[in-house]
Amino acid sequence: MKKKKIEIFVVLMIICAVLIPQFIFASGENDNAEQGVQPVKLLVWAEPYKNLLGESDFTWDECIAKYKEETGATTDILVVEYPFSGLEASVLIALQSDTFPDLYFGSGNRIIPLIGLGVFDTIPEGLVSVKQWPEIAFTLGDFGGEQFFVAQSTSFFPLIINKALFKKAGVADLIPDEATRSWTKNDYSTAIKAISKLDDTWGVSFDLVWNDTDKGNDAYVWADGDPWTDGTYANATFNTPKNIENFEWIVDIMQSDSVYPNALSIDVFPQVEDFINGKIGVMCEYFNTANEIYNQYEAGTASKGVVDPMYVFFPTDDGSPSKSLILVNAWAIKKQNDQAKVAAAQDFYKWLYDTDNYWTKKIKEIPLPTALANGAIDPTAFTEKEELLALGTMPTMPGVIPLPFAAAIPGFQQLRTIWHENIQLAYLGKSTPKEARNKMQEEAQQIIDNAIAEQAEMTSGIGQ
Amino acid sequence: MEKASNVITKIIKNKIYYLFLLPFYIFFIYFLVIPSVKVFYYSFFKINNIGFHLRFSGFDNYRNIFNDFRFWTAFINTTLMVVISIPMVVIISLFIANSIYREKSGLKTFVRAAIYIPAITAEIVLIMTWKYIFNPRVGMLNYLISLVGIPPMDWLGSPSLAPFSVVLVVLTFSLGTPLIIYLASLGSIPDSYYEAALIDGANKRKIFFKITLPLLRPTTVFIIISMTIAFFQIFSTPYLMTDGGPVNSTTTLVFLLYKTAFIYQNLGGASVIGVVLFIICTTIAFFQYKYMSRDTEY
Repeated sequence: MKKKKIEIFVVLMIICAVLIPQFIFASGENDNAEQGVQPVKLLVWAEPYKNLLGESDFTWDECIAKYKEETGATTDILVVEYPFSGLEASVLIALQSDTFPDLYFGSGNRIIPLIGLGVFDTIPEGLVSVKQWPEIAFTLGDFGGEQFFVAQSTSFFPLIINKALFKKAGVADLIPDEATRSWTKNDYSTAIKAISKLDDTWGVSFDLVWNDTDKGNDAYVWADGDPWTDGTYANATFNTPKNIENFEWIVDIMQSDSVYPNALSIDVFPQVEDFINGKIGVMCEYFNTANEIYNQYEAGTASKGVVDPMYVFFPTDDGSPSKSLILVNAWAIKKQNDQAKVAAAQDFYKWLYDTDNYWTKKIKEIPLPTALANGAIDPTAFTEKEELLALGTMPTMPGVIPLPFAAAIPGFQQLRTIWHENIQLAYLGKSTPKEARNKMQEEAQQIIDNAIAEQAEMTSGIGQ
Repeated sequence: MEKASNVITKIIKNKIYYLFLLPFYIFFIYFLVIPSVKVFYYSFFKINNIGFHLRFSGFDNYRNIFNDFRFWTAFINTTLMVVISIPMVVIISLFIANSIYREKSGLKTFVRAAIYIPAITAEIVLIMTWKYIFNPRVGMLNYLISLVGIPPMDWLGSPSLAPFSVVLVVLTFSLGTPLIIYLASLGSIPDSYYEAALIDGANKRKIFFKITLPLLRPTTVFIIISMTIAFFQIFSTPYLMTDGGPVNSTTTLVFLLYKTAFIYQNLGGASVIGVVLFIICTTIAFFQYKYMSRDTEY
């Protein structure tokens, strides 16, 4: 009998151990409420800044302590640095389970579709000082005349060329002009063909699965063609004559032997290493990677005789500057009924954008010459290095046309997948470029129409 | 009624054992049974991705998914992977098990460990390693085939090669468990059967096909059913190796489910794929069990 009681006791203890933490977790809010007025709790999602800051001693705990010290705020702020991979799933789960953060920092590509769905609130006039931030920071966050965010940094996708290889292949005269960074498609084609004739060398590398669906490879098409949609974001423009012509040109190149292997798989490695080792003439890369390549070059990790990087625009027919997709990073405030949280989020937002405070001084340490804090109005405040300066100022150079945000197109995520499918078919020779663009147009328009209809139908009740 | 009452009486009588099982069942019901039932329910709704607003849409989600070529591509890809992989898993693991079963324990332990380690290693590690092996620029595989004069191939970039590359990787970490199960089952076949067969003059081949294989039938059925269900759920390998490409050639049903839910943000459609997968796996398991299983007594 005694043995049985012990058994029952053990089982009950196991059940308690399993269930009690859940009850404690679930009843946490009530406990606080019973203890009287509690500080407002803010949940913040931010990109892992520490990675960007490198060896910097920045920590969020220190940042929040400074915020409280400088402003006397009592807000209880929990910052979660989210991982980049699987973010779409995390965002969706957070939205579904009503755990989306009160304040969110991330790329415009993720913020903008959520604006369309009514997730974010507008930024009150005067919250961010127009004296401290350049006009473009406000322009980029203005949708339909309402300010949803203020851009804190910008970046774009350049082509990186290795001038040393151009010289070695005898086509130094085809290197784009230092001042305009622009070149013609003919120069581009001639250069990559010449470079690929050298031993163990490729003229150009693509990263198709990622870049054509997103920003890079399609940039060859809209460099002097048409962006994804018209200005209303409602009508797809994938098969305009100029876009078809540009696509035919890049498909021809893709099917030639000038192209680095593995272009159709998801990781084109060791692309960057091969570029640094002087085996690739032209490469398209993310801003940060481009930055990293130049830093390695400057640090002497990359042999200066073998690689001599230069950032240039995508080629156009007449050699004028290409259209450029400017990407942004910004903070956005969640729309919600809890006004105390909204007010607390706005207070923190204001502090985050005050360029005289601890936070923005730290942010300025990020090696991104296009960070838009007041120091970035003059990029030389960040760096004296010639190519990094160029990288920072290229999106705003004369003649460059900033493209509208693809992310503002209804159904943007679905569109990314049809670029993937159709473009790959054309590169593989399984459809003509014209057929691929026509099919994309048809599917894209369908997706956009459906997304607009669904958005209109289902946005009711959002933010409740 | 009487049967139910007997069950309840038995439960009350053995309550202490059921109490021990209770924590498991709480989690099992909460995290597996309820979500599974909800998937059926959600498949009939359009779901707003903000705030979870539902609107009944009848069979619209089913119609849309069945009219989407991506679904059929994923279905064919997954079926092909299952059809190619399952016989290979069974044949290779049975061959290895049968070959090493009567060998010295050192060799047996080594082979068992070598085959089983991939099964317990983090998939991401294996997949990243295989990505290097498949790399057309610096990969070991192209180097090896170049030694016999075969030109380099784009293992993950070609739509015709990528599915086989994915299957090959999945096979490497799918052989361990069947091998261990086969080895355990071989141990339970009495030696007297083999001794009798040898006295009767049976050769190794005959012994294998007339004694070993029939007596391993329940094990084989179990392995085929469990591996079929597992292979219908292949996700991480195409997700990490090829992102379902090129041109959807490695998109599997579970990968499409993930994309439909989190990239296309169509939770109703993703629920439909979940329902289809449930039906496929249940049907296959039912028929495999019904027609392949047979009580075997040693």
